[in-house]
Amino acid sequence: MTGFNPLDYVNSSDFLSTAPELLLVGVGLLILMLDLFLPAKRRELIVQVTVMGLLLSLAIVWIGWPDSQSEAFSGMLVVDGYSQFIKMVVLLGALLVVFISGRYLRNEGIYVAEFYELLLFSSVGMMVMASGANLLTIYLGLELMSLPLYVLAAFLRANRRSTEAGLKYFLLGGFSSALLLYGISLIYGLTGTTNLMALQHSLASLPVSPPLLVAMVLLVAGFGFKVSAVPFHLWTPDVYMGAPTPVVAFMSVGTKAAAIAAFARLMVVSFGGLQSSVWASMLIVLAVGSMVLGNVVAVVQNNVKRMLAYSAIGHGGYLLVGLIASMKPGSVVGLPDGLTSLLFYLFGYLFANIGAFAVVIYLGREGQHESYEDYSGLAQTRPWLAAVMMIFLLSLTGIPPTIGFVGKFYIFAAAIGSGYTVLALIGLLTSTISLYYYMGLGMYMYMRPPVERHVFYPTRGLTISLIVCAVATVLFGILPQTWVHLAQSGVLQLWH
Amino acid sequence: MTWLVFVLLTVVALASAVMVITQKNPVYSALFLVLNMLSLAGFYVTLGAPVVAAVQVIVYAGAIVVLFLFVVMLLDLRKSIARDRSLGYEGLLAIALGSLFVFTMLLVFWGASPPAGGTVSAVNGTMEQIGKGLFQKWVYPLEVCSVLLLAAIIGVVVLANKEAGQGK
Repeated sequence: MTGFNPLDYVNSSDFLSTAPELLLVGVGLLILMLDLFLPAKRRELIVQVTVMGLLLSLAIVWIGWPDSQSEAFSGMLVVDGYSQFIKMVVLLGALLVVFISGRYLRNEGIYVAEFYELLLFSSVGMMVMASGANLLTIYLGLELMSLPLYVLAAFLRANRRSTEAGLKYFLLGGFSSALLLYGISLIYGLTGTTNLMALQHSLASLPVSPPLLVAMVLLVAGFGFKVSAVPFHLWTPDVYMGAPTPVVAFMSVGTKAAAIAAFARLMVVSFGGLQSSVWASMLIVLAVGSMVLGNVVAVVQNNVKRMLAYSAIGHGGYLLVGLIASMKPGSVVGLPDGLTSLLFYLFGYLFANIGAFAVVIYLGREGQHESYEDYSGLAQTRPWLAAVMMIFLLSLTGIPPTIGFVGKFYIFAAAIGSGYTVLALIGLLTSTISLYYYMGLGMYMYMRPPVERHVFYPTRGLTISLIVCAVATVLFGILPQTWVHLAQSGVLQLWH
Repeated sequence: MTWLVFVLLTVVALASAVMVITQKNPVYSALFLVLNMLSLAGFYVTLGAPVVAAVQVIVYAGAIVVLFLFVVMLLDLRKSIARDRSLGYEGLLAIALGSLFVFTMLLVFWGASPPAGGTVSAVNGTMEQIGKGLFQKWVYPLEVCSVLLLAAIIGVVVLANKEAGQGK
């Protein structure tokens, strides 16, 4: 047999470029072992190890921030500023979720190490997706992201709604994965490759044929499900209602970030502006549907978690607007402005949305104290809590001086710059609708007399994450330049 | 000759797949699933990948479906056999939309010319080739797969564990 030298294909730089992911997998395995040997009293150590692992992974991402794109593992993945930005969002999200989940898990009696393991593995999946430069890697990342989330959604096993949420998410998620895989196999059949760069060359010489169109539709369906874009949104309200609140906070940000990042890379790098009118016409339907349906249905909700679910559908629509804005009909490569605004919007959405869910956890146990009435007079009983919730709601609406305003501003500006003025107008209009229901909750907090039966569940972790989210929301709303530049330089590296 | 084998395998694969979902008795469904897996293994042989075909038979048709059968027999699903078999409007809608999808796909692929862009290079599916492929070029997806399987195992343990997560 001829010499088999694995080092021809794998070398140390490959491992360095995947160090953040490898570290998280290692921490997950470590927790698995710790859980066996630790006495029940020392469980706190597992949380501390998780936090340390996430922080260290974040530090590696931050220190190793690349100036240009580099490949690893024979082109299976790439590391560039774009992927690192998404990884940063995912890691920050996971970190905040670990902080807000401690007391919640204890209250619900599910304080187990597996929660943190699955959270870590799901984060790894999201990071694999963000870096994926091969359709196979992207698909495996998607599965690694989703599978732990299905289990996490059903984590409250004695709770019927949670079990139902898990099963519903699993069945529909499996179905959407199958559609995505069908699309990928068609692309492979047409071009003979799954590498995104190689696809670019093959697709450029390929005429638009019905099978290619079908493949594009299937890809949009597969990724659209993860972004909970209309009409693939039907699972969202029930899963958000039933799943444990920290899990919802995690998946509302992480899943969207990873899915839209991988989709944008595929669209921009492989298709490189080819068939941009086809992509745009499909995505416009999804974006308009999500913005309108999400925001209009959210108006009639009386449950805060359900309202946040519909608002998440709406925010998925805004993200799609950013994606559409990266394609100008007729131009060969994508426009960086759209993707930059998309990345920045995700960054802002991270703090505002996880912050809002943290307030929900602060206020009550699963399934209790989630209606608008329970927030009555919060400004009198807990003025600071009401104030930070107000900040998050303002940011989700998109009112200055919060980060949500800057994010929406960039997205709509990019859309207008690419010639999608009507889309930007619809976005503005639906944001106005969202003002109604977000401020409806604000009105309950500030204008209504307080209700008596408030029980609060404060912890140090919750307080820390609320402060971090609130400060970040306001501070980066006033001084967004650093992050915008970071996102911009990352997006520019996509093509090199 | 190859063409004939292909048609035969296709007919068996499709027919057995339909039988899997239309059988009343879950044991029969599982057995038709074996038939389906075997016909897929036949495809792999005709594509020049005997190792993949062998793995398909041993792992899928052998181990996994046998596990299915164990579960089906242990759970004793007799009650669910006698379920209401009327379709209702959701069922009719599903059939209508499903037919529409199949019809569209037939329309798309009917007379679609084979791709000009790339023909998949001839597969040399020997053990050596597969091993080299897995541990050289495709080592990263392979490792992601291993983490995925680990996550799945942990997930199953969490969901099946009686003690953890009782809710109160």
